[in-house]
Amino acid sequence: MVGWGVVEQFARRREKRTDLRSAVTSLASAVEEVREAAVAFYLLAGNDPQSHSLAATIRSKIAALAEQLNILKEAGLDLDTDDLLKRFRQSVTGGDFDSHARQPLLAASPMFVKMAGDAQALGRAAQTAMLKKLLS
Amino acid sequence: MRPDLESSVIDIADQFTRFPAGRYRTDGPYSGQRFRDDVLIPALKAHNKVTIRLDGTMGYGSSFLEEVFGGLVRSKEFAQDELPGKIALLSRDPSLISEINEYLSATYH
Repeated sequence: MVGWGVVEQFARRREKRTDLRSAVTSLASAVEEVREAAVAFYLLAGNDPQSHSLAATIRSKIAALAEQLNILKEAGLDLDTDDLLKRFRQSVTGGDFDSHARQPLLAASPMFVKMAGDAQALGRAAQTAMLKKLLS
Repeated sequence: MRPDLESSVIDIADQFTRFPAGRYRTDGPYSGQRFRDDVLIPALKAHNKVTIRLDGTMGYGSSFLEEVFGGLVRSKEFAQDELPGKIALLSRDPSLISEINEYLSATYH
């Protein structure tokens, strides 16, 4: 009986770890989706018909990131990502985001580098918190 | 104007829109400029304290947030150091509150 209890306990722990890895992977994918949508958005002019729907997608996906981060925190991850999410939102949706007068950016614009850096920092923070939790 | 009531609550999703977007009125019907000038400033003039509920919308762009709160400071309708005491922010997303506080405390020239 005791043996089965131990086996079950290990199985549950393994399942929880798998769920945690999956949730962090999902967060990283969601961050990357926002970045990709942002690149597509900024390559278009503000008055392009596609801009409006891309902007709405970006706003709602960033809001969903906050929810995902809350779930990870509730699952016990020691996440200090508020500032990173703020910076990512600012780099993607600041300035003239939503302006009809916005001009398209060149693909080599430094703004894309900044967005990619902020996206990576956010994803990396979640990965690091997960590894700390798994190894603790 | 003398505040007539102690406090007020603005639920953006319920009382303004679930789709806040844009900085200026020219960017759309639910811009930061419109929220600031038509909703927030009148509420701050009428009440000593205004609580803003941020949840329930389809997300915020920083351009909207900056225009509302950075623009509020730039408007000079209120002393910048009194704004943190007049505005309370509620959200499940702490990064939104942090961002707004950044705009409320920034130095503008």
